[in-house]
Amino acid sequence: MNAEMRRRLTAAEEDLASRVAALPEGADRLGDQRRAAGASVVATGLPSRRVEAYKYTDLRAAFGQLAPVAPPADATAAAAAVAAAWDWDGLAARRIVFVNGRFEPGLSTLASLDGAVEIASLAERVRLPGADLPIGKLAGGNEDPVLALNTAFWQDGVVIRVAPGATVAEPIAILSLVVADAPVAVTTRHVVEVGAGATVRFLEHHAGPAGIAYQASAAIELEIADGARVTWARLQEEGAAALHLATLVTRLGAGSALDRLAVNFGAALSRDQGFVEFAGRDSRVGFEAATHIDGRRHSDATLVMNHAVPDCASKERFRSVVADDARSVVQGKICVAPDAQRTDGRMMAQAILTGDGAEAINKPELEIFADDVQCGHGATSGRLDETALFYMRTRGIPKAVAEALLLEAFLAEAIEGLGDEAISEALTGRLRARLAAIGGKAT
Amino acid sequence: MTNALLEVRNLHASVGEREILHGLNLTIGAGEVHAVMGPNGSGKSTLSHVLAGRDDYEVTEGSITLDGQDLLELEPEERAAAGVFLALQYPVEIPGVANMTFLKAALTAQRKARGEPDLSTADFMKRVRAEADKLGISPEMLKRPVNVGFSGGEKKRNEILQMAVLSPRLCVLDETDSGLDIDALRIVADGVNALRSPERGMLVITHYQRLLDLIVPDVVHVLAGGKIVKTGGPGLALELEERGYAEYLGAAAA
Repeated sequence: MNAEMRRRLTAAEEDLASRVAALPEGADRLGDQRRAAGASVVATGLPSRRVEAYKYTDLRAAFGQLAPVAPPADATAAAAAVAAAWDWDGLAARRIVFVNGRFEPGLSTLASLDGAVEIASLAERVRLPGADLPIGKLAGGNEDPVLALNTAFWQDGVVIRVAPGATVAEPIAILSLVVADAPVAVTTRHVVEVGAGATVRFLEHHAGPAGIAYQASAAIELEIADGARVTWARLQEEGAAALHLATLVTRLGAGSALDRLAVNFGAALSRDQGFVEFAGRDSRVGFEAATHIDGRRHSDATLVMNHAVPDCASKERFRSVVADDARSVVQGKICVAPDAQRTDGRMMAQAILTGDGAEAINKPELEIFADDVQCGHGATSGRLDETALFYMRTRGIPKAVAEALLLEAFLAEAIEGLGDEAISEALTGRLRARLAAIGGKAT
Repeated sequence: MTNALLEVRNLHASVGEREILHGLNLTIGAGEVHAVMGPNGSGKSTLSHVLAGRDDYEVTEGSITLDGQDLLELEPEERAAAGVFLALQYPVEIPGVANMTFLKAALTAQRKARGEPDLSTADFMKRVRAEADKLGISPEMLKRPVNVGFSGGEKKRNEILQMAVLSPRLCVLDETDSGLDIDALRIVADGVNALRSPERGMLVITHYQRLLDLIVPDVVHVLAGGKIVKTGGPGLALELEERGYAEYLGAAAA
């Protein structure tokens, strides 16, 4: 008897099946893409702990119900949400705003983006007659169910093309907000193509209401052409009851670089997964993550680093502060193809547990088929350094302040690892404010 | 003595099940510098850590007061605000926290606890720079994380800098001479001597007499077996240097 056959559908899975069946009919490629992606998840079910990649983040259990697709937000509420979340004046003058999964041109500031950077709504782009289908170019072969759900149900997103050779001075902010007073589902999909030799920085920011169990899914396909340099920072500040599922699929050409930082503060359950492929030699990727979670939150960082060609370097550092009964999961896999010689792949996961029920799970994997490589991984987890705490207190620094300073220092190292002083400074400020707001709670 | 700054009475302290201090008495008046000397394992470091409030040490009996205030009731940070400063034998490295940030956080917290107005950043910087200059601490060292990558001498100078900036009522120096060459020792001693004042008391804990050539104490105590077994003038330190602690080990055991 096959376990697959006996599997009973959860309420969310039944709902999923009917939503996939309800996807619009039609022979267009987009419709085919949506239906195929949806059908693949219906066939396997939502990923549960029996699926190795979801062993510690059981989405079948987490999805009680599929929330209804978010309706458009009221204009006043949308503007208020942007005003509340936007804190990047002086850092990023330009922003692309999504509220409830819909592009909000009126709340976006794109005036100075023409020329080197071309921006279009994904929903509008695919409606153009004869338009190519921008999504799936990188993600096509990826069978991850979270990505497939995004492919099936994305509402809108942005297509960004950075012209070859362009240097975009200021970071481009992508703001994704949720305005809701009941659970809703919000699904965005972005496609970013950075032309050869271009340099560009992005700041991706997610936020939403605190008490609402909304479900946010965001997926990005990022193509980095030869010689391009991309800095990508993301700040996840979803509401405390939210589910946040993020996917980055990226491919790097020769001689290119990606520095990526994920700052995770929010959501009841979050998963930030990255699929990185080196497709050209002499490229470099740096992945940094700074996670601070409390309560009963669950935060998952999953990364698959695929060294398909020789002479590339990847370096990952996941730092987590886990308070109360929260749980941090880090899954990092480095794959080195048979001819990817002289690969340098390094991964480090470090956690400070401040809560009695706090937990940090690390699952490193190395799959190495080349012989001339340097790959390694390490993991540490522990309590705050008692000796340092006592030392600070003997100087008059109250315990809560000393703890906040030590935690800030720990996470700030990852934030500074992005290598972009302006963005790091802004995000460290955000971290400091968060630690101050939490105060002595992290004891 | 009428105006005791620090008054330690019949202090018993343990680590785990083991009692280390067995009824220690010590009185330091304002303006006085006292040295406590003793062999390894006599309880010198325990005394300094108990004064600062380290919670691995349990005080089972006795009292400690500073200006008549019960220190044992206070948390380490409250003791600091009350005026206790412990210069550690092994200053702690704090990655990611800049020296300047650390000093500012400490001074701000202490002033706040005492109900004093916060120092402006400009005044604070001026004060730190002036003191740092005297101790040969470069502006670059002030920007670096606390004690990270500092040499032994730099760490000790950094302790004295903190002491100078925080301006405590009672300075406790726990084997500040350990690991220092003679030049570094002189800089540290000069820094300490500059802080001698009629309002301030000092407790200099050391194995060796050489520090006391540079920081000349008013009173010298011998700590052995968890008690003060002898008290005398500066001459006692010289006597110890010559004859060792052997006779006191016997006295403590008796």
